Amino acid sequence: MTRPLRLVAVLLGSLLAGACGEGSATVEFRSENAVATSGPGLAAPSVVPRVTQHAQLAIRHYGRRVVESCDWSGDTPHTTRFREDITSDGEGRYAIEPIEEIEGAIPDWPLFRLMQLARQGMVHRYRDAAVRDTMLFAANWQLTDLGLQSMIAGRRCDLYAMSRTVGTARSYTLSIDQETGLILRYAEKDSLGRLLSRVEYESVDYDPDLGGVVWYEEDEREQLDLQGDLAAQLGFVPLLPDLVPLGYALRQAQQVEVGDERWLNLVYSDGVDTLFFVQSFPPLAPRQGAGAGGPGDLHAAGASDRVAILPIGSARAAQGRVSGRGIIAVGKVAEAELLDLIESALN
Amino acid sequence: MPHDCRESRRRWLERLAAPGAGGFPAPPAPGEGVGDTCPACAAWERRNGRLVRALASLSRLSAPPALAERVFPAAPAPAAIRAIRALDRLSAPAVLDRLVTEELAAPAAARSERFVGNLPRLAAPFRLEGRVRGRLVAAGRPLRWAAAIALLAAAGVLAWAGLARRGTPDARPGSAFERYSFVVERPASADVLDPFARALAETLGGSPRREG
Repeated sequence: MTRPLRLVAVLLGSLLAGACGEGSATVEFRSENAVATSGPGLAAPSVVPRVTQHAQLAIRHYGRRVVESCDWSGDTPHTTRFREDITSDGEGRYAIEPIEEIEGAIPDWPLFRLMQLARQGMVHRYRDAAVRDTMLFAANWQLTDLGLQSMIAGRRCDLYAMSRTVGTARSYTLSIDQETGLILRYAEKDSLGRLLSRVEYESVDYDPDLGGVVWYEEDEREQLDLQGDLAAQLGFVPLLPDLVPLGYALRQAQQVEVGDERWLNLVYSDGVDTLFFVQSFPPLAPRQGAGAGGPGDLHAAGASDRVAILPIGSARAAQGRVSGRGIIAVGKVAEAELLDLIESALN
Repeated sequence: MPHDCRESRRRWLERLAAPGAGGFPAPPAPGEGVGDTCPACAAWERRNGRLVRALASLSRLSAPPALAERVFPAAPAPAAIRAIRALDRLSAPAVLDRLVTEELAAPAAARSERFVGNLPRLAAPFRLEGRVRGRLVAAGRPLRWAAAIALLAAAGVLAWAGLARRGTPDARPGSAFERYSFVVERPASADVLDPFARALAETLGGSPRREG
């Protein structure tokens, strides 16, 4: 199907899905292993609305799941696993709590757990596989019905492949609960077919007792109007990249306060994955103490422009000080794409 | 005078407890204010420095609204909520209509205009190098010069590879060092990342690789 036709089909599907419901084919389930069914191929457009982030967040449930990520940047792959609990009331409130490390590969688990608790909002919004922008998804991705079923956490699931059709190849295999539409398992793979991340529910309860749940309270982030003049809203002229990785487009601009510092966070999306380009509100005060003046130091005064870049699990992070401003870029993209993004913002 | 670990760490913590800018103190540098320090104390200070920076980056949590409702069940709605409810609803700006109309009238043109930055970067074809080499030969340049240059280039690449493995700035000719207006560094440890950068990266990519 050509891209414009696919775009129209997905959009029509999005409109019709709410009214018509889901029309999945009935197949015979045989075992816990995935079994083949008839008719694999491009998924019906009406499937897309089930895997949007909005739809996923609207499913009331409690679950325990295993979160796994793989870093292939070194000589040997480095895999980390931990178990977490998720509770959602289906109306916007949620809590995500790391429970325990599995196999002990996380450098500092107590600190990592503490930080994950503080980052529940970011984890909820950006980590897990879902369609975050229907228009961009239609332009950059393809959803294929694998014609398979599997059992995850005692629930019967349909299997779909979500593949990037432009730029660097990347794919997700989704196991979607037939009844509720919740993604109970996903596995993310790179262009070489190597596993990058995997999240799988071990148990799920769609009618949980929500008494006593400590819900996560969202930070207040001032959203800026992308159609308006960003400079007027910010009080300074922001760095805006001209060269973003293929398929990505700017979707949000936020003011974020971290400690004493204010940051402008430009959030890009390709429909599924997210890319951040963050810059400090000038000026950024020099910091004394441990680490000051090290690689990519955001607070170094008078030094030449430097950017440190390194892989973090399946993502890549760049940080430095350029044009007198602290900058951070993070995404699941190639090193050259991330550096080009920064360079293009300076020209 | 022998190094006193207990005293060294006590003084480090004392400096930490001193009020700093913004209400949260910056961690002292390893050995700062002590004179000298031992490897164990330096490692202890580095780890606690990271912990302090991470904790300082956490946002303060406020009590959930439900708590206030339970504590003051008969209290009226807060003034802010009443004020928001009293506001008039605004309609979408006119520019939105124009943008949507343009998008619908000529989707391809609108996308081209908006996403011109997404165009793929094309690399120079391999044939170009062959043609340039052919021109050099045709111009009568001695091939031994080309061989010498190639040897020098190979030595440069090897030297760069050795340096890059030690995490020094990328000085590869024609690559990051020259291609970008900033120096590119590839540190071995994620500890160099600012807590905010680390939060974003660990959200998308998971936990960093264990050092060593």
